[in-house]
Amino acid sequence: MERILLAEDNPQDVELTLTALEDIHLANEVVVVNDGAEALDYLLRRGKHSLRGGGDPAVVLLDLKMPKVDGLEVLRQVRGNPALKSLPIVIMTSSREESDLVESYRLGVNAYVVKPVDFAKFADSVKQVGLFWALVNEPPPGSLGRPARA
Amino acid sequence: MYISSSKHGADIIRLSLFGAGLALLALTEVLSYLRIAAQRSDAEWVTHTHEVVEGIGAVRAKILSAQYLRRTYSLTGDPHHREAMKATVPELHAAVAELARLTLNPRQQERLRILVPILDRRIEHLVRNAEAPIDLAREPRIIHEADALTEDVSRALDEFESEERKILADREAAAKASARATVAVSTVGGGMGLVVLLMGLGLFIRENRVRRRAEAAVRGVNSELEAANREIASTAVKLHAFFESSLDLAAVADFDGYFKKVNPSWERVLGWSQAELLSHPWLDFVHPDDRANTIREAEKLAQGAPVLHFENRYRCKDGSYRWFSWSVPAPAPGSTVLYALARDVTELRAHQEKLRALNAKLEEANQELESFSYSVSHDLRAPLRHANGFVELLEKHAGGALDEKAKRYLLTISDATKKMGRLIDDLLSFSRTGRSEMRPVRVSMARLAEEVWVELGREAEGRRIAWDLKPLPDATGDFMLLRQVWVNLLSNAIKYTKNREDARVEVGSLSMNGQGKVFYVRDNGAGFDMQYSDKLFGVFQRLHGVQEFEGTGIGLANVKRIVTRHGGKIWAEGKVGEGAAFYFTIPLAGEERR
Repeated sequence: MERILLAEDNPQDVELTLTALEDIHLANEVVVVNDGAEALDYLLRRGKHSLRGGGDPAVVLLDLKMPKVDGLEVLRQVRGNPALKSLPIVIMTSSREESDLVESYRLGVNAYVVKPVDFAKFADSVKQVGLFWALVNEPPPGSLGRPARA
Repeated sequence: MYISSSKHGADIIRLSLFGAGLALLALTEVLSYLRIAAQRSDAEWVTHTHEVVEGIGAVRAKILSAQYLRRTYSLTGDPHHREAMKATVPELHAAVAELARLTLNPRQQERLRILVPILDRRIEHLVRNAEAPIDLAREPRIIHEADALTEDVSRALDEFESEERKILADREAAAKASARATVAVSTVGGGMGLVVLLMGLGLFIRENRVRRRAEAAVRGVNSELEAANREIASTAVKLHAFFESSLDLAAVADFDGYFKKVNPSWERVLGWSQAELLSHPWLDFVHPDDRANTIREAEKLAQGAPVLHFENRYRCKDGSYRWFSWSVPAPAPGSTVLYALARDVTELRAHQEKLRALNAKLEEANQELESFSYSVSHDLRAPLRHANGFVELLEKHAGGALDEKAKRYLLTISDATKKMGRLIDDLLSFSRTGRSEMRPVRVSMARLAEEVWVELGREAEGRRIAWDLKPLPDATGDFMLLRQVWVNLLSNAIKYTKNREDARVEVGSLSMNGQGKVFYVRDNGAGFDMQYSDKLFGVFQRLHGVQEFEGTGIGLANVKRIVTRHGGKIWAEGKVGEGAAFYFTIPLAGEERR
């Protein structure tokens, strides 16, 4: 049961993120996609994800700067899709560029997290996001909600 | 039209009234004259009748007188009485003749003819036997005869007189009636004539008043017209002066395609003489590539639309071209005369072209900078995060196997990455300070400084700093940027006074010659050496070591950029170990920023 979709093209960031999530035992609930196009394929069950099982993830952790389709475009398409528009999306990015912030909120992002350089702070941010969206928050119907055992 | 026709009508009425009045008066005059003539003749007749009656009386008196003298003679025998009686006889005849002369009425003439023989008989009786007195007592017959004859005469005279008196009464009545008629005619006719004349006069007076009023109005209009004419004449002189001295090219043209008049600027700018310019169609001077557009504009003018800011090229005598910008008001309806103004915009266009090119370059550079800083923001921090992260993981993973030295190396790497991260953040914020859009509002500098001080005070926990905020004028500027100015200056003041027990920070404003109101932040901290003051505001320039005072050296660079963007100035004074003062100007509230 993968309840977190991580869209991140940088393998180091993927590893650091997963390391942080391991501490709270969420690492094996993460599906990693390496660009925006694959993220959309996964969500819409297209291409190599056409046969995937399960429901929608409880949260999507979305990087902004990715090859092919960037994070803002993924956000735009998800919000424009009647089946997915309620999907919780958290943008996790290096940038605090005002234009990105403005555009993300305009498109209806659920949260916007700037990844700190300091790993301790970074790990803290990731853990908080994972805990809240995957375990605390009640996701929209059709998503993979909190596990019954939790 | 209306006024003149009504005036014409009034004229006719007035003239008619005058004519009628005069005619009535003239008629009255004629009638009165006739009446008076008739009246005079009536009066003459009355007089005449009176004369006749007197004549009758005279005859009667003479007869009685003669009879009296005859009888007196007979009684006295005095011949004197006889002679007197004889003398009466011719007088009696004369009186009868006079009476005959006076009598014109045929019936009276008839009576007179009967009277004369009766009278003659009486006279004959008188003079008969008159030579001797008669004894009347013995001859009573003679007395009777004489009395009878006198009685006949008297009766005839009575009849005559009675008839004459009747005539007199008639004539007197006629004369009275005539006089009344005269009075009536002159009164009624004169009165009517007078009334009509008065009506005419009234109309005349009223008409006169109206005319005088109209004439006054016309005089007023005339004097206004004269003033307007003088004004026009003087305006024409001025306009001509403007035309001749205008630096712009002024021309009078017609739709026939020729200039009618050009001012001296044409020759100055193009080199063609006025005669040359007037003798060729103006289209000949227009650049071949601009002719189609120019003809289109001329057609717009012909349709009554003005030409504004239209630009085309005119050929100079030396073969080069000048750009003209045209302003041609639409011709007056029905007029084909054009008053055209052209400005030589050749240099202006060159400058505009240069400016456009520079702007395009600047735009391009800005976009590059924009994407550069975006890249920096996204891509430069990621490797740092990775370095920091993996150092952390390494320490966690192999911590037990590492000695103290190795651990210190890892810590140094970690610190370096964090510092690099701060530098990048500062650099990006500095870049944003220059690029962000400014939204100027009225800002209470005193309140802003106080707020920032309170906020920073929390970070200076445990320190005692004397805070002296003096009155500050309001400023006009971007609130967030001005806030950043205070944050940087006040946090500097706190930072550089950290080694002083009696730290003091003073904020105020003062008037300076040539600067107007100046804001300042003064502290008694570490200060600086004035010979390095030009380095204070440079990016990443520091006058103190990081060991001494932490910082990246971006704060004052940011402050300077913000102040400069607001059109202000910033400078500093300081002395090592004694403190520093920062002065800056910002447009005050109510001041217009250029």
